Amino acid sequence: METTIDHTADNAQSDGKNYLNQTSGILSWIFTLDHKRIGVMYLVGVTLSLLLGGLFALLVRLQLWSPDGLLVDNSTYNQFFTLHGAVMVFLFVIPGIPGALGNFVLPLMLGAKDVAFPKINLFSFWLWSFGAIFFIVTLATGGLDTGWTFYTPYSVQSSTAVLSATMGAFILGFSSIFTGLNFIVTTHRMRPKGMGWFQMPLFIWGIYATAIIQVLATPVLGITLLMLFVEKQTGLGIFDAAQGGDPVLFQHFFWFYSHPAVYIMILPAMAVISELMATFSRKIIFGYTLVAYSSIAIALFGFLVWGHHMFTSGQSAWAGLVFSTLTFSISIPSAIKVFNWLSTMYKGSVRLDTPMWYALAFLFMFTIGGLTGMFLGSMGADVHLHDTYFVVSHFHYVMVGSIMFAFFGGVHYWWPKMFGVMYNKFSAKLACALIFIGFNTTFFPQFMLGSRGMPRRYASYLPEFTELHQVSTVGAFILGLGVAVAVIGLIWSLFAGKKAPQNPWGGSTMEWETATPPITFNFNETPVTKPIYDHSGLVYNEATGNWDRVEAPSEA
Amino acid sequence: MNLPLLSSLALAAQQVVSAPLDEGATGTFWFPPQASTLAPETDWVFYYVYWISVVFTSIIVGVMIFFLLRYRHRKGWDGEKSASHGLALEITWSVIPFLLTTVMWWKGYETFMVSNTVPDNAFTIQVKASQWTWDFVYPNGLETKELHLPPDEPVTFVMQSKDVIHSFWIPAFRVKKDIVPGRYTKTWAEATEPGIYTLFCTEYCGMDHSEMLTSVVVHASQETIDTMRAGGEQFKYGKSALGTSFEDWYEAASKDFLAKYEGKEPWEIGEMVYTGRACNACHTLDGSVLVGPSWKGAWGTERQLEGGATAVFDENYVRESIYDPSAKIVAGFPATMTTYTGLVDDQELDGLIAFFKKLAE
Repeated sequence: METTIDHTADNAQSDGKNYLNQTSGILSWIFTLDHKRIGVMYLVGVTLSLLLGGLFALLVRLQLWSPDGLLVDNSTYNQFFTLHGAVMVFLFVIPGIPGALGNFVLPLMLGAKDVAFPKINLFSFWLWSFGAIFFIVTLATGGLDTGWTFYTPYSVQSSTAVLSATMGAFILGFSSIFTGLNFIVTTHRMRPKGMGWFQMPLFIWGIYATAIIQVLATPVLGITLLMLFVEKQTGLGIFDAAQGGDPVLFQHFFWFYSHPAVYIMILPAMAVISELMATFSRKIIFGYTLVAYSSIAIALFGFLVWGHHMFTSGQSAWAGLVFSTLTFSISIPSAIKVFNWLSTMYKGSVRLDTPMWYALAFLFMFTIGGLTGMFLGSMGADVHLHDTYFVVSHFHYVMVGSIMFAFFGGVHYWWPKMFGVMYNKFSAKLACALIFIGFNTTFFPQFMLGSRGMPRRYASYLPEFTELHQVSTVGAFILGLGVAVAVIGLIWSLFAGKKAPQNPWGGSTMEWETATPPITFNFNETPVTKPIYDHSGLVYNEATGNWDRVEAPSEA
Repeated sequence: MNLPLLSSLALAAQQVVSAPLDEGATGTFWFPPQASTLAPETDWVFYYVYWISVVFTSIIVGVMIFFLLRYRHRKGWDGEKSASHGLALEITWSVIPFLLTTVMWWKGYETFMVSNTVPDNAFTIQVKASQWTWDFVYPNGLETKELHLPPDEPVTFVMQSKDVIHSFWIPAFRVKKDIVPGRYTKTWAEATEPGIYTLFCTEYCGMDHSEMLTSVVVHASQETIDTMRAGGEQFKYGKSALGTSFEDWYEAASKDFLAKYEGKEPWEIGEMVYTGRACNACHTLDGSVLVGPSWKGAWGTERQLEGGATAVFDENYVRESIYDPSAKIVAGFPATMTTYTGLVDDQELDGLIAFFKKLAE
């Protein structure tokens, strides 16, 4: 083989200047067009949202300590769970991974200087911030009590702040569309020389599939919320049976967005896990091509399953059968991904660093989250389980057990690259263990609560459910403690962390070739595309803690 | 309506919901007792998925732990080259889940069709849901707040909502169906085990959603009752209900209910409607303000309406306000009241008018 120039060394040069200290002052952040700074701002925003949503989760769990409700009256409790759900869904789970990690990592992985439309990217972030603040203020002052689902006719009848809350969600939706658009164009147009579709890291595949859903599904949410707005303001009668409308129509519209939105949430999480499994097993993801296709399959099938939220709503049995069929179809690509991630460890060199802890925990909990989805996809069992704690537990296994774990796994993985510091590994692993234990203690009992007969969204309950509820509440506080330890550990590292090497985990994708932290324009020269997930040229250097590239990379 | 009996039943139901009459039918780790013909079928589907889940979770976790132990980076192990994909393997682990899920899908559909196919000519009970209460209307006009059912006989529920979407759920029966305003929805059940169970609203319907529950009393058959009496056995709870067959209960309750206005003054009927229809949830008699204006001294006064107009509180005003509440809204109050058409009949309306006059005296 002909010796090629080692570009890696060049890109690691940064002469002390990086994207964090290139310019300073608050204005340099507010008006930045740098995808990395925008990613960092998203990271701060979504983490604050996570903490706020988590606070309401704890209030919900505290209320449910006793059968009559420990803390507040029914209306206040209804506001608590609405705030918890709405903040978590619209401000953390949907924008979390694409906004924070996608923005930071995507261009770096492509060896690019930025996303395709940096100004739209900044606009999207400020739209998100504006929407988020508007939303939170509304929720806090207007006492929204409809649940995050805004079901008609209750939402039309409710005298709480439905109008302004839907406006907030509407604005957030636009932010999501702009981000998706940006990522689609970036993926199509900014891949470096030699990187075909099947040389792309699976993170990009996942973010790309997500972006497709964001662009195609989010407008439907916008229209739906607009219809609700008009209905409430003018009594137009779209959803009012007395005027020839149909309240169930709202559910069709709402889930036509909100089910694909579940995949807006989980695909980026899967994308992160693919990176972690590859790096920490030092292997290519087993069946890479199938995993890539399965992301697209999930994105497309995800549009066609919304009716499985409505098996008991009175929709026709025929519709139910079709939606049940499609729902089971989507379970297959998800199962394939789990088997492929697992097989990636086969004959690998598995290192149990903190991000891998999160990845393995993800595999366990995504398995439970996915399998419990089968109970709900099967119409006969769903009739009993629908709108109970079984459903609550199922989707928390997906949204928290899977998505939040992938988020933390990803944050711990890319943290050294983002800020140039290493966090304390002990406290990070302790946090992961606490979150894992706390999470399962909180939510596993909820499966039993649900199948035994506990409906969701109840401010009080029958005494027979007390023990399970109390176990769940104890779990929630352990979970909260774990999240606090994780967040504090990360923030602490900014001040006291050891300086991070360029490539602390032996990652083979391009973001590890740039300096740590990256320079403002990412690379001094465009990196050379190497065979995907080829870890062969990287060797761990005990002295520096870095994975040095000892062989010149071969061109793909 | 015999309110003390009903509330004592509700209390009993809360205490014994997981331990009905027949000792053999207690709940399990996953489920409340099976008390309808649908329950065993639903549980079959659940356990089919459940055991597949247990097996798959065990395999996945087992393989994960094995790989971790075997391929963990350590002295002397730094990975080995292996295939990056394997078509046969990937087809295998796509096809096996596909076949297993096909069974889940089909059995789930079959069970769903059982609960969704309402039998012809069954005993029919009208279910009226409203924020946050249940009313059950039997074929002869009897209305109750608790649901009473005969054993071993299919019963059809024809359901309607007065306001928002509710959902009718009896966990022990595994029956659930949403109740959507503006249309009838139907479901059915055949109770198999005498006992007292709980009926929940499972579609979030506003402030007191979590209090929208009531008791379901499945009566023992006359035969069972006679056998137990002969054997000297005691009925453990609510003996007035469970020690009475459905037929006897139905006859006695109907007699009381249908004669409830007999010998009453019109204004007394109005007062009964005031509490029975829960007017008192929003309208007080002492001048204090809840959701709606107080009824104290309202009769004959001029009401200031939203939008500047006025109206006199007379017979026609009362009639309109009950059957078309949003036609005239008193200034300063929300237009949240919904129509009582079909719920308040002529005799009751006359009673209410008499009650208003009495209040203004």
